[in-house]
Amino acid sequence: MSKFKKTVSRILKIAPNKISDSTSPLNVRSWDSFRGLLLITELEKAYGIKLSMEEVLTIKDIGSLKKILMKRKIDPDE
Amino acid sequence: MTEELSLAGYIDLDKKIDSRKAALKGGVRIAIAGSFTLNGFKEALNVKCHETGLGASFYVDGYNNYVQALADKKSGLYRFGPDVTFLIIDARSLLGGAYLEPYSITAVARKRLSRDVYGKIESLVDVFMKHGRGILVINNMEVPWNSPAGILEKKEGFGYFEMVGEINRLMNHGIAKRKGVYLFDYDSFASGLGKRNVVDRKMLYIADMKVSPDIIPALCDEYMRYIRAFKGLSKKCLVLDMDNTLWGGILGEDGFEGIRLGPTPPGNAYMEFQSRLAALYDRGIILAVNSSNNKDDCLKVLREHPYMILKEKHFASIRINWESKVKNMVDIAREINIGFDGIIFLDDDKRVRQIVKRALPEVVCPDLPEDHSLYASFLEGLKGLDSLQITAEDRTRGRQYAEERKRSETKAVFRDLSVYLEHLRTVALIKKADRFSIPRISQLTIRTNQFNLSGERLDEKAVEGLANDKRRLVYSVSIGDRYGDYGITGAVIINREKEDWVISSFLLSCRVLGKDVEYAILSSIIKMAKKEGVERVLLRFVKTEKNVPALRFLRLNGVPVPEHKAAVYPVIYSYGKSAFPNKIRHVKVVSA
Repeated sequence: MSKFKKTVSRILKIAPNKISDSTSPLNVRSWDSFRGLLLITELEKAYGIKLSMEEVLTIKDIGSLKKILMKRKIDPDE
Repeated sequence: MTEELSLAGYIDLDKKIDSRKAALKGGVRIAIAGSFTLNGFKEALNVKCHETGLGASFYVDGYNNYVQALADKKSGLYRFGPDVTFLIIDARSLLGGAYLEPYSITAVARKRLSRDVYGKIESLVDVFMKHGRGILVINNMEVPWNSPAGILEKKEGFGYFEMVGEINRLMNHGIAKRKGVYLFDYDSFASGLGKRNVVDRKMLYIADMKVSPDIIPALCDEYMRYIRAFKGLSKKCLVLDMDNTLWGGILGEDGFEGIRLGPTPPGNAYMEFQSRLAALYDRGIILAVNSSNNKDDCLKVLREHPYMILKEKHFASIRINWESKVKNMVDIAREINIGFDGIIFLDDDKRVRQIVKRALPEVVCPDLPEDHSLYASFLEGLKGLDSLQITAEDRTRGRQYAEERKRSETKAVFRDLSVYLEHLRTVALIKKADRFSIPRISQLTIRTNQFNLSGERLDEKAVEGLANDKRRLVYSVSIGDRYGDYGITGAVIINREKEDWVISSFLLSCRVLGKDVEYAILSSIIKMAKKEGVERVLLRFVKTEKNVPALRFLRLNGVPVPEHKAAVYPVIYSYGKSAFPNKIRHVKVVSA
């Protein structure tokens, strides 16, 4: 399993196979604003990066989160 | 960060804690109120309470609702009835626009603002003291570390930093001194972690988190200190290993001179560690020794090593033997009458820590840093020794325990004097006078009256003159026994004549009498004389008004002492015959 999926699953408490690009606070109950921020800090730690505020604010779902990582030359599926 | 587990980890664990499960050490009611987003605090504290064996229930106040929560005596916080209330406030919230633009207002206005802010905090504390229960823990303000005035910050009258610092100063002198109110020095905490790390600006702007999620676990570690102290769960005793803990190296292998302890590296790291331990002793933490070693060798270090900061008097219990450390720990706990849950064990040997941990799970056995230069800083950061108040008795507790140890041990064997003397393990250290001991030797000749054979008073210069005279031998005598070190408490001055040695001064402080050290010293001097081929050793005795004990000492040993007052030279050794037993078995004489 990718580092990305592992982290998302651990922080948002959803099964890895349920994680898709459309996974979002709208369809995952545990994804509240605080957990969303925790997910950011955990991913930052996992990949050794710091996301900008603008990047964080564009995250609407897993798909948009992945896109940000890919812009940072990180392959979330690896 | 200092924490291994991230805040997310705490949040996961928090969910798994079964709050219905009976907590071992009872429960605690914790309220959290503050001036910003407080997510994560409850979860981290809950996990930490659980780890401590405490069941915790929480009241987490609404976002930035602390004024209402504390000012309104009917608030949810007061209705909850907390044992410990954390008031987590910050300068950014309290100072408003002046925090970001401090120089938009005059120095006078800044000062007034600081006072106003403090006044508001104080009035909330007043209400709490009236209507709240338990203790109140309040953060002080993080003093900024960058100023819009730049390098001129300190040129400003009552500048930006001072404006924030003034609130802290007022809190320190005001509410911090109130009963049941504790000021948490958040500013120092933030400095310790590095102020650039304690706020994540992104989180600040997005979620008004004025404390970065990364540091919440460490902050909660600090908060736990108040909770444990409130519940009486603080540790009271530090049990210490010796080899590679109090000093570098292994005494049994490296020897007295070989162990690393002294002003040069690496010994200085151990000295500082010992000083920090002594500082804890000074505020009432009990110290004890649990070491696998030859006891006498270790006691010698405790008594005679010039760089040993910790002495026997610091230890409430001393277990130095080849028993298991677990058994020693049980004995220590029994001797000082303390529960295992009050003990922290510091031992460099991981294997030993594991054995003790397994046998006595309540004893906390933290991992000492591999790098011994980190010992002192490890101790400085050691949490769990806190109490909510320190009384005068606490400050002397360590000493009292040590005295009690002496008393009870002595009592047990006092019935038989010879057993008692044996038990004392008295050591007399005879050492040639040097610039350190000369002032003390002079002082002793002036102050000692009872056991002073010639009664001769010598000033410092006179002692120095004798010490530099090749025909003379000037010795200081240090006495120690298993209970402690008396320091230099005696002196011997010998005049080397052609065939004879004349002891012109022999004196001992009355504090060290009754242990037979006087016999042991004389017999060892006779031994020294014999070695040098001296045929007679004479002792100058001058009867004074007060030196009856000295006279009795000579008479009891069959030394002929004339009745008249004039100076005489009783012969104490002559042509192979000595008035003194060759060896006083219970006193060890060491000459250096």
